[in-house]
Amino acid sequence: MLQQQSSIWRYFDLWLAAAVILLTAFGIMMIQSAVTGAPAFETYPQRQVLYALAGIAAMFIFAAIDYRVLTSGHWYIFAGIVASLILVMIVGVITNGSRRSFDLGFIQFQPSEFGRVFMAITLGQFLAQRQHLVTKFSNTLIALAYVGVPVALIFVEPDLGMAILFGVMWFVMMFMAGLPLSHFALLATVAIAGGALILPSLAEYQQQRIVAFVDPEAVPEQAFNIEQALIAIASGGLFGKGYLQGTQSQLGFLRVQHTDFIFAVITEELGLIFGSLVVIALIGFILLRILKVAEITPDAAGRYLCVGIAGVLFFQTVVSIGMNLRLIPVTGLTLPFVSYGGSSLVTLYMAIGVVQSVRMRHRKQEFG
Amino acid sequence: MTGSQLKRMWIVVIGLGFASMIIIGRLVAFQVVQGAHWKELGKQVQRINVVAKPDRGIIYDRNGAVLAGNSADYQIGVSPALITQAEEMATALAPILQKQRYELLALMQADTPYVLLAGRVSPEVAEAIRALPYDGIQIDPLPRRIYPQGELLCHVLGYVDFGGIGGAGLEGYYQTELAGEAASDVRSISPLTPQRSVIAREGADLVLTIDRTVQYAVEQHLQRAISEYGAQSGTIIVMDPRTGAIIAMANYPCYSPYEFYEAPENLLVNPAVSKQYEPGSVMKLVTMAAALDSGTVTPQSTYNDTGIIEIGGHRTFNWDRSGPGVTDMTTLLARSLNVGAATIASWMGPETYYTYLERFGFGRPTGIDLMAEAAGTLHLPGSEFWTESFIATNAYGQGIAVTPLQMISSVSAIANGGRLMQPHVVQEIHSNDRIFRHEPTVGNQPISATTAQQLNAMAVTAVSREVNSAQVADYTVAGKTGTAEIPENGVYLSDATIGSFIGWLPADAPEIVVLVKLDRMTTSPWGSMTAAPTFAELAEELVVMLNVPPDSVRLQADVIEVRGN
Repeated sequence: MLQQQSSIWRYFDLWLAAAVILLTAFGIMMIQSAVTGAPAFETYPQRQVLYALAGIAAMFIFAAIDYRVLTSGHWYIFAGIVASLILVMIVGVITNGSRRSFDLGFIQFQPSEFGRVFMAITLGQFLAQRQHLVTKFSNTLIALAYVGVPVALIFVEPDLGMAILFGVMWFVMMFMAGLPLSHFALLATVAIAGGALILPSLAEYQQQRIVAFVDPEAVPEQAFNIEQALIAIASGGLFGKGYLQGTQSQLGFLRVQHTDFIFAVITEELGLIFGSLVVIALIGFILLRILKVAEITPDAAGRYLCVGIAGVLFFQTVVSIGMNLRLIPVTGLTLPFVSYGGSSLVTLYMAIGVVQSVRMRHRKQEFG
Repeated sequence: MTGSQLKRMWIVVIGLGFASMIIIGRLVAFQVVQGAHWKELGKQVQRINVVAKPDRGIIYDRNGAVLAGNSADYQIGVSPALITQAEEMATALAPILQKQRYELLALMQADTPYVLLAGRVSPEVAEAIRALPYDGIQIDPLPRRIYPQGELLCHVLGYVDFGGIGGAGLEGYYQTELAGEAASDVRSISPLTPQRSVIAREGADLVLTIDRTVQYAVEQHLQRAISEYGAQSGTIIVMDPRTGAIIAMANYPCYSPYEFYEAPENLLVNPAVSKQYEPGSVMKLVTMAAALDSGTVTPQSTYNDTGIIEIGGHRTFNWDRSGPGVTDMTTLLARSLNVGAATIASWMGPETYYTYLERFGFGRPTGIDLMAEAAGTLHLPGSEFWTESFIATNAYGQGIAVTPLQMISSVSAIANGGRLMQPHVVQEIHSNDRIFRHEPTVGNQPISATTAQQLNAMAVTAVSREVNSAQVADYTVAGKTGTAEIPENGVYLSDATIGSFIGWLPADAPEIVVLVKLDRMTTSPWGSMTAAPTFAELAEELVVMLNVPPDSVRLQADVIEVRGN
């Protein structure tokens, strides 16, 4: 037994774990810079260290658990996700106009953050089970309905970014499962038409963010944030102004700079080469390691969930950096492993743990 | 993994790479290609230049009563974007701000982040607006100087304009000290940045030599005299000849420093230090001092007064056209004989005479700590305006212009044993927990103590013989009247004079010197009939307030011991 255990851990991806921890450490350093001079936030770097330790522990725990135990109970997990999302609407705390988190006193717990990891697991199993039906449009609609329940609940919180994230994850996993492109084309058409209808019903701040993106002058407050981020990024140049030397960051021009605009802080202070490219390269490396796991695993459920998790990380990265670069509207998604945030960080580590679990068990037979 | 899944995997990887390229491309575009442009923008962007102004220092009288303090007016503005009930707000604000409703409404619906509705309103108005149940109204305090004593001491205090700059008097002279130092700092507009004090130096407080109660009494006497003698304006200065401390400085008419902007501009000037006049016969004290001190005459010297003297082609007559014949110096002073003054000045000669005038401080500011002091006009031999006749006219106070302060300061040297003390208004400056005290300083010693003593005695006799109206019961008064003519466009006005009197007491050891100056009296043209009685009435009150015992009491040995002089 012991023998066998140690042999499974042989397949634990040290490169992946190292890249994730390195990125987290980099993030903590930048959070330190982002909150310097802001007494209200001065404990954030220490707290992020604690979250990271909790996350690393979670990674090992989830790596140790056979992911097939989780996938086999996918209906329970799915029920748990939906239940927690309903519960948060009833007893959750309101922050910035939306009800997304439970307040556990010492920490705010955001079920949708956990949901995106467990959703990858359950959807992976769901799709693997229905693999033979993948070419049927009815299957596509059923899968859509499956993800639609949590997405709808998240959307009404409201948390537009997270809802879109779930949608993206669904699409990536469906794509890997073999979603016929004709289905996709049809859904895309419906989605665009639907979007045009839904837009007016979005929460005002969500509309503002979109308007701010399309026409930054229209919403001064939002335009200001983006403009400041752009100035920070652009003024960083190739090598940056130096750690703790960013004028935009240190003078507090950037709002929510330890979360939404952390990338701008990084780029201003460390520049293109030591800042942006390091972050992008690390995340790219992490994504490739996860996709490698998807490639080598023979288990369809494991493969889909890895791709789903990669999709989540990828989408969050693109959105978080993209909004700093005025490529994408501000949605409030965090930069994976870098931005400040307890449940975000811990759940991302859990996701990596699940990926590790898939990797460690990719051999059907393990011999000494 | 099936072949088609592997293909799809590759599509995912390619998509991932493609997205990365877009982001990196965008980054390079921003940082490298457009970097300079954005950097420039970053410099311009809204850094708020925060100037934290320290509170302006308080001005106290010598007993700690507040003469100038700080309050606030308010500035009313709104952020149109934050207003939800513009219609109702305009309706509510219009009567309070006394503006048209439609004007306010138009402002509130403007497409700007902030509009100013009223630049400066009183605290009461601000309070009324604060009580309104609407959000989005911004009420910002604007510092405003207040003067709890109203118009009292207006010219000495001066005023502070809306930019926080002292415009006259002490407020102007001590602007730097009172204002303190506001260090400016570039600040972000983020609430994340902690607030720290940027005040470099707090405003210093001033403690004056002036007593509020004495000042009030002096102002009352001045006003009464002006109405009694039908004068247009007037000035009274009370000074301690031993220290140069100004005890009171009053001018009439006054203005309200709190509403300085409503006062006509010429009223904002302090006539006591900034306006010049020809002093007339009071000047004979100085001429006599010079003649005695230079040894030209002694108190017993005589001259033959024929009623006329011609110097440099200019004929001088006595004021009453008399020619009393052989006359001694005391009589010259007592009867204020112009011919005599011109005579002794001509005996001294220009060099000696003008040396003494300069030593007495004429022709230059006294250096008092009040803004915009005038220098007076003293033409010296050698200047293009000076002719030989000036030695005669100057001797009895014509052809020379002085400020009231110059006049009293020079005469106080005679009262103070020949030592001319530096006149000052501020006794102490309290700055950052440190106290700077004004130590009495001798500005100059124009004449010897002996001369001063001789002149003192003559001035006592002059008052007792000729100016009974200036006498104060139980005190020995020394002094000199003056009736000055007013030159306008080079010609003396026939129907207007300036009546003045400078007196000091107790004559043997003076503690108070007072200048009373009344302009263009209508009841009598003579200083002896207007300024002199005003002096006497005022002095009677001053000796009580300033605790100067009557001669009979003061000269008792035990009193001398207690009072220490």
